[in-house]
Amino acid sequence: MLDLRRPLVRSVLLTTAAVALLGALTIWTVDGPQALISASPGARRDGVKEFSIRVYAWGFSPKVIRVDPGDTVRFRVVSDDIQHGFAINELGLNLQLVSGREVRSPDVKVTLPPGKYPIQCSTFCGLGHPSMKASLVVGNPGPTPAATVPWIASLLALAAAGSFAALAAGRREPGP
Amino acid sequence: MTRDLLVLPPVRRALRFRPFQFLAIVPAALVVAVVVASTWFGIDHPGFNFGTVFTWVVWWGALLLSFVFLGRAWCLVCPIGAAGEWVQRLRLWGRSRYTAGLELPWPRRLRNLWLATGLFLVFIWLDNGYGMSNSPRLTAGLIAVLTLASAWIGLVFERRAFCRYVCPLTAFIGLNSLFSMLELRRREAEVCRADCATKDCYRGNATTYGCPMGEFPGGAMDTNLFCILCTECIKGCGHDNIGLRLRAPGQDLWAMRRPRADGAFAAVTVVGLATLIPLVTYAWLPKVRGLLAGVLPAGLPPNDPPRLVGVGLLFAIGLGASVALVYGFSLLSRRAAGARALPARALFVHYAYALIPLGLFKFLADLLDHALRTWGALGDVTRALMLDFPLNRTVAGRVTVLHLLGPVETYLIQILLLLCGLLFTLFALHRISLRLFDDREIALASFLPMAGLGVVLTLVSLWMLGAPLL
Repeated sequence: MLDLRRPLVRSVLLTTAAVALLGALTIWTVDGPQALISASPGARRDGVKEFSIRVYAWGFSPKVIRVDPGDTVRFRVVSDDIQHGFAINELGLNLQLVSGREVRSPDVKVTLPPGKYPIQCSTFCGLGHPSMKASLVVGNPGPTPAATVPWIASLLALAAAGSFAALAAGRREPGP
Repeated sequence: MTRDLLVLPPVRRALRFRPFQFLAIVPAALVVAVVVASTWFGIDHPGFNFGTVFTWVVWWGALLLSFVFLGRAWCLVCPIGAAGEWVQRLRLWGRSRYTAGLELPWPRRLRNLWLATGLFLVFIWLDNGYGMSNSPRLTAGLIAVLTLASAWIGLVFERRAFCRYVCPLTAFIGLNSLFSMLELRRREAEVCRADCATKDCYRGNATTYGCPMGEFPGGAMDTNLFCILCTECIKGCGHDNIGLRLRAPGQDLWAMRRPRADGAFAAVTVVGLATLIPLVTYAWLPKVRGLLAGVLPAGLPPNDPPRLVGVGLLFAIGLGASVALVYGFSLLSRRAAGARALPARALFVHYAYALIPLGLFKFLADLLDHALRTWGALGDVTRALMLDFPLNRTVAGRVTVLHLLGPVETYLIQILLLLCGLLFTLFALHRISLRLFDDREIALASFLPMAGLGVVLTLVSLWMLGAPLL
């Protein structure tokens, strides 16, 4: 039976509840919108798949662009606010955008194997810049193992904190 | 375990050399001059301008790394702070008998970090609203405004009032420097207390100035918060009682004898800017901007009121959430520890400083991603600068695409950095709890909720950076 009068027992229970609640809220805030993202198949024009993309601090619309291996693609990109970049390193593309002006990429033939490749802002644009990403999906790669990495990292963080707390509880010598 | 670098004769000679600081400032001033020329006259695009790429990628990255190894070393060489000091002293390095300044004391009510934290938030809002780091001209304007402010405050107030109380980065730099592996402190407290009547480290003497930051190295200075490593006290101490020591990182976070509410709030602000504020803005800015567009007139970006107000609103919400979260966990900590615990406000003030590594390592992880994935741009802009030195007016071509690591590999390094930040925070929180409570079980009970807060903020960072992989 748990003795709730003991500070340590109270502390473990309160901490576990708070971390579980706020951790779930965090994951829902970041991961929730991912399920609602609609992928853009693009429009065919002169044998080229053309994508119109809007860029803003800190995201892309659409967030997922679907192409097939062997497609020739073109991107028409416009920034809605400040200056950004539109880079797909694996395609050798890095467009520099100016507010409100459309920039058109050269036509690029997709020779990449099926997979999910990052689209990112390549101009430092503030606090949310590191999270300003979208995806180029080539073919139908299915779920990628990389999607499990944030989950594994979260478990590692919990394990690290748990181990630290266990070590701290096990130490016998007096504090400073 | 510490090691005093001043026992090494070359280091000792260099730091006691009178023009040492001036000679350290000169290269930094030359680089800043090139940056200003490039940002003011060069191409008006951040991706092609040397000044913006150098300032917001190279300088920013070096600044973050310097916190870990060298504390406030940037302040030692910062030409903006030096401008105020030079016009005040009328000398570049020697001790002057005259001053051009009024030498007024800084107002008592403003002797804290509230003003600097407020200006830091304004700076961040301007940066994210108007794209300060995103515009060469605004970057040049920022450097000019700060230099003029430093000179004006140097002429009116005593010592480096600008650097201590006004510079928008002083709280950010000072707090992160608490983590540093380098400290400048007195060697023997007894020597300062019993043997020293003149207190030259604070007051100065015929050949050296007193601490320009108004610190008392021979007395109350127990952290790196305001120490700019100018070495004035090393030169001035007649008892050779100042040491420059290497130490384990993070020591100030738990060794601080008198944590203050202004510093604690600033610490929560810095950590919030790395974690909750970007999360809130990232998740809701498009929606809030859309809602505000129905109320406010739209403008041409970046002067677009719905967006500017939206960014400000979400920053306020994110900051409020950060403060509420730390305070809420302080309440949990108090409740868990029982009746003998300190008030929640006191726990907030003590524990907030320990969260600093979470913010610092998140900022490092952010920059790592940008640097590794856009490596080619640095070569492009440096080449462009060389072709048209120092104005950098070269017409932009295509940016070279060169990345050093793929997204998964980069994320794995980011995970390591974030876990390092978490472990340092846990260690600091634990040491603080042992200092606050004599009973080990109560200390642990008080520590656990704050450790939980550290885990939550780490999860925020892990998921923000990991979102593109989902």
